[in-house]
Amino acid sequence: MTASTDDDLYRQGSQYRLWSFTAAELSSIREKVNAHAIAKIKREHASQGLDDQPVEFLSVEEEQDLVLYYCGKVQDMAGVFKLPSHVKATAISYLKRFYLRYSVMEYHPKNILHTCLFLAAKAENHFISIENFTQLLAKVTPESILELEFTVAQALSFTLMVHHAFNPIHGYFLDIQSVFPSRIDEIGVAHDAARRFANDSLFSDVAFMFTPPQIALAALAMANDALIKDYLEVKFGRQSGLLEQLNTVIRNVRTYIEERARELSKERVVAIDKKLYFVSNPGKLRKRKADDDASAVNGDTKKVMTQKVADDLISES
Amino acid sequence: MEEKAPVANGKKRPGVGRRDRYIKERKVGEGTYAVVYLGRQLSTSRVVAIKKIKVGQFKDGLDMSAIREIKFLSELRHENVIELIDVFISSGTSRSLNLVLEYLSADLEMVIKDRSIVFTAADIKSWMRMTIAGLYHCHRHNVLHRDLKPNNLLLSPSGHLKLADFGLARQQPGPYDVMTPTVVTRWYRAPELLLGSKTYTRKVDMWAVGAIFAELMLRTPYLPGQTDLDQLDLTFRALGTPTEQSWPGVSLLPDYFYDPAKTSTADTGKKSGVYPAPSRDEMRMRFSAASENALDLLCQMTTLDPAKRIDTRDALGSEYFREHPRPTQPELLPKLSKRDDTESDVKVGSNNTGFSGALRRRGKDDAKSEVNKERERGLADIAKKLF
Repeated sequence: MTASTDDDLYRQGSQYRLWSFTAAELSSIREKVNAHAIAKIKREHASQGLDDQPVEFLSVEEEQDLVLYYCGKVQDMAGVFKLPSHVKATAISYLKRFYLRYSVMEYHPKNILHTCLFLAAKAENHFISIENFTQLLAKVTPESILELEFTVAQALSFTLMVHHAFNPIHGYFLDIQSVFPSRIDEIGVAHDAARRFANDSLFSDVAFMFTPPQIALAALAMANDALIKDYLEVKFGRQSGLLEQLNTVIRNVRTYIEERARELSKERVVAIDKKLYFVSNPGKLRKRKADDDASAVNGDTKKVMTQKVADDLISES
Repeated sequence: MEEKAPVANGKKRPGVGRRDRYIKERKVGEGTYAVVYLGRQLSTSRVVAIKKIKVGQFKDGLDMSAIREIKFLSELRHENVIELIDVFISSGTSRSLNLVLEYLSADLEMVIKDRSIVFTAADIKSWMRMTIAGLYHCHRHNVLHRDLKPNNLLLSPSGHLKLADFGLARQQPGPYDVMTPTVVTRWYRAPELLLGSKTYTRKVDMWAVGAIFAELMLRTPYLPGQTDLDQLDLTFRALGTPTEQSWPGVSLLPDYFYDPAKTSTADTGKKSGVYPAPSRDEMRMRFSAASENALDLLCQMTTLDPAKRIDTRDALGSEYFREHPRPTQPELLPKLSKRDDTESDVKVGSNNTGFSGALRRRGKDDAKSEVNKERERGLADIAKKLF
């Protein structure tokens, strides 16, 4: 019989082998994806004779903010279909993983997110037929979702299994009860709050950098710091080195989750999306320039354009 | 026929490695769900099976069976689980999904049916050990196979047994999730499934292994029910009708209709009669060649109450695997005596024949050829004589 631990099993899995990185590796991947896309788009513009336009490309940070905004959209949409937490979490993971392979300048997340959610529902055994799926979404056709399915699956290197913090939270929940049977009410409250923090964590990069049990422990600590301190003391109090390590992990995970908890302003998203619009349609930039010159005389077209982009964004939901 | 995998769009992209190329050499099977080719990995000349999923057939995009197979086989690497070597999208007029699987030439059902082969107790132990070792690995990963049967246990040319066809597999769900009870091919379906349980566990796989163990000893299916009702009747006739006493909670299952106070079919008027559990002597008569330890393990695997049924870890540690004789080395296991060239010699599991998903199971049973039906009836008669 094999003597492998659960940790060994996790390390053999795709989430560790393909989708785990240090913070430095993560930023390097995103920079490469961004640079690769810019070079590709510049070549395309040149071949269309549009390279004379002063196109402003998106920065890595802008790309990430836009992806994050659409992660929120996945969350809203999963709510519309009443999908459970882990399906929603898997869809968000797919979206985040996809944008480690491609730039938002190559595939707009407003298209990719539908396919990610549709695929996640299937992969997590919550099948929704394409008719039912598209019926509830405005401006989305079955074709627009299905034609991207291969692209998404391939970008994910066909690894569809995603482990989340929800199951480990449940495991800790049971174990903490056995350690402190008299604190059951407090533990129940902490469990529910921890699930919400685990949900928040989907918007950060912690899933790329930490294991689900580590994220689960941090989420529980965010929910009730004192309870987790007591618990870890009982479990690991005699191994001060290990306890110190665990506390460091909890602190780090917590910092990453809290950093990403800040609200993304609508204005920023609209501004990024507008930039993205002109990256994809440099010809419009030429037109806008002409319009701008004209607008000195009759009205403000620029404002109209901004409003149009904002409308598009809002109508997505 | 020589379809090639694209080399990741021909460009270097961060994180996407260069793909191997494959060549499809010969079509060896076709169903509504997939076409199977014998092929080769060009960089290594390794012989592989390529299962090309017919994507255009499905209005809901990638088929659930294909998704499950890819999802689980990507994670499960074990010498007793079929290896998913690669996945690629073939170019061409219609893009399609291709699963590159290790080449396996036979399955356990073919060996069981080959009357010219004699099994020794050591051979049976070897197949059982490999089956349970593969299943142990799946269960450690929280994966339920949900369709174990002899023709999903494939045999490599070197005699190694591999679990295949993960088209019905799923993760052990959370504590509040429900699942469909319409899984597992009928003859290997655990009693909790027959009684409509929606919260079953990995023990459903162990039941199926028990039925396969019995089949290896009998050389004929153990419980070959002809309908779902017949399956229930056959199962309880063989192993006793469960009661609240023998299986706490059984009377709460959706399809449990037995009144233990009444003992004849006429009294209950439904489904099947109430049968007593078989005595040890009765079991000894049924499996005359089995050792006491083999019989112990079989009874533990086919315990009606899933909570009391043995798990894979304990099964691997059972006395049966320690006692003499030692399991036969895979290389020395009996092979098919004669090969029929018209028959496909690449095995990828049962769903390559064209039926995927639980809902199609019944269709699949119906679709069996008349010859097969006849064989089933014959076997059912033989099996019934055993009781």
